[in-house]
Amino acid sequence: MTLLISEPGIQTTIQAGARRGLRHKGVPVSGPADEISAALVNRAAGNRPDAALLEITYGGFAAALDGPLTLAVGGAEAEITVNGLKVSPWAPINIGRGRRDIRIGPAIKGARVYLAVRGGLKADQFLGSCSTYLPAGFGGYQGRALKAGDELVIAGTDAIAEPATVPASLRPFVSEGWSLPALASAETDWLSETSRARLFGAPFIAGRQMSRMGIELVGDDPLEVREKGLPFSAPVFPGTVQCPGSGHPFILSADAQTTGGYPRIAQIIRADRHRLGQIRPGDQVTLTEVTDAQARKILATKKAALAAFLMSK
Amino acid sequence: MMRARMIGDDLAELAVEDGGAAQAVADLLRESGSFEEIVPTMRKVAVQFDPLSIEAEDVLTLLTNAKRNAVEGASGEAKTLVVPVHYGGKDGPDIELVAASAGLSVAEFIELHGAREYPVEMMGFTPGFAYLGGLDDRVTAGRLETPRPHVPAGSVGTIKGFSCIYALAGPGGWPIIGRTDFPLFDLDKEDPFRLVPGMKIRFEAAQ
Repeated sequence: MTLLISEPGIQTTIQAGARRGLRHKGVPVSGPADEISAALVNRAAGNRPDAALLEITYGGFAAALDGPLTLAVGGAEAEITVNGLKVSPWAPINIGRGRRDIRIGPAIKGARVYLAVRGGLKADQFLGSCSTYLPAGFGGYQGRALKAGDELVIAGTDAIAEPATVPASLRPFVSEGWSLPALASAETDWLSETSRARLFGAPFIAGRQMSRMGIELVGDDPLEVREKGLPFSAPVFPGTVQCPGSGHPFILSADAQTTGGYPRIAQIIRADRHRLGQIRPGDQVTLTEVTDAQARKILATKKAALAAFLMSK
Repeated sequence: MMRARMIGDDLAELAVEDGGAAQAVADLLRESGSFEEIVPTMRKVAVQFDPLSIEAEDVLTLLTNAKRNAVEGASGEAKTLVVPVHYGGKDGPDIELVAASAGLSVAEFIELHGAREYPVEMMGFTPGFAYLGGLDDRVTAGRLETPRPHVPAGSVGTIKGFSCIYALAGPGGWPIIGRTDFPLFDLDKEDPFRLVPGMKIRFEAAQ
């Protein structure tokens, strides 16, 4: 009941629950960059939503499985094969006794594929979470991205339900064009009128600078901000859109630092932050300004739809 | 901006006078149990909450009241920690640059750095990174051209107006002047981070 990594892909880490309540100590929340896909893949394997699983950036992953075990894969679109035979995403995959090779091809759309094993993976807990935070090297598998030859052990503690296929209506939609609902934030009024109109409505291209800390957005022209920086570092969060001196905004993601010195010009709404985990360089990204009431409604609707399946036995 | 205001659908922020006030407000807010995150910085306190379990209006009221009722210095004693530092060499690769920015020799800079007590203003940016105020204003070296992807735990750095201490390893762009073996992080403690805002730090050259 182990996974022996043969091809780790460019960055595969163990992620689990968020590391909550420690931002005042400088500790990011981490956890899956697309936490909804991760929760659904965990549920497909019959696990708790925050069981430790693999986050595979851009696919291109292979491992030898030592059965019997049940697993599930989902998130970014990629071909999954077991011993060369194609299997479906978002559904339980049963592996019999003996050795099998699982292979996940390159991601066709989206950035991160999740692989959950029924029972959850064994991982290092640090400050209340097993999620890997690479910059400080803690959590997950020795605080680092996986390498060929690493052997993962199944914890066996996180199964809470029968494995089940994720209903099509709940599977997060991955594409090459993203419309992200956002609200104005602390320093939005530092933007010129033209820049504000461009920020909310004009398409950006996701730049090459992309990591679990954030995504750079490149527009036709740099945004104009009244001041290049804040006089004092201020709190920032996943989903915060900052505008550095370059005028090319940056959206913070799961591993976002806790404070920042650039103007905070928008905030992606809580319900849609998980989608940041699937944006890849070259994708088109548009921010749409919504009201507080709309943001709450989107959140309530999404939460209700997911809860029924995630909590089902 | 004197009032509390929303900065996202699940985020609100309050402007405060200084780091001490931010800390006092944050301590008071922590007692309410209404928030997922409470982040005090030098001029702001931000909170994160679940919009489906608390109304934005109530959050803003909690913030405004906390500002009115917070008492500075109520939580922690302002004790002074003496932190021994291995200055320069591979522990402090940027010390020459920092000393030169103040027009001093390395030895003179070390003496200057150890001559004051520095208040811990805030924690943040990366895990266990402490901002210490009150650096002699002759030190003018700014950020490094190229940030380092990995700064070892215990590293001590400076930037105009501030010193910093890394409790854990992490990335960073501040010039690094030395490193301490002082235990800044202990996982067996309920609060594993030794430094808290309000404390004072005095550096001395390690023997």
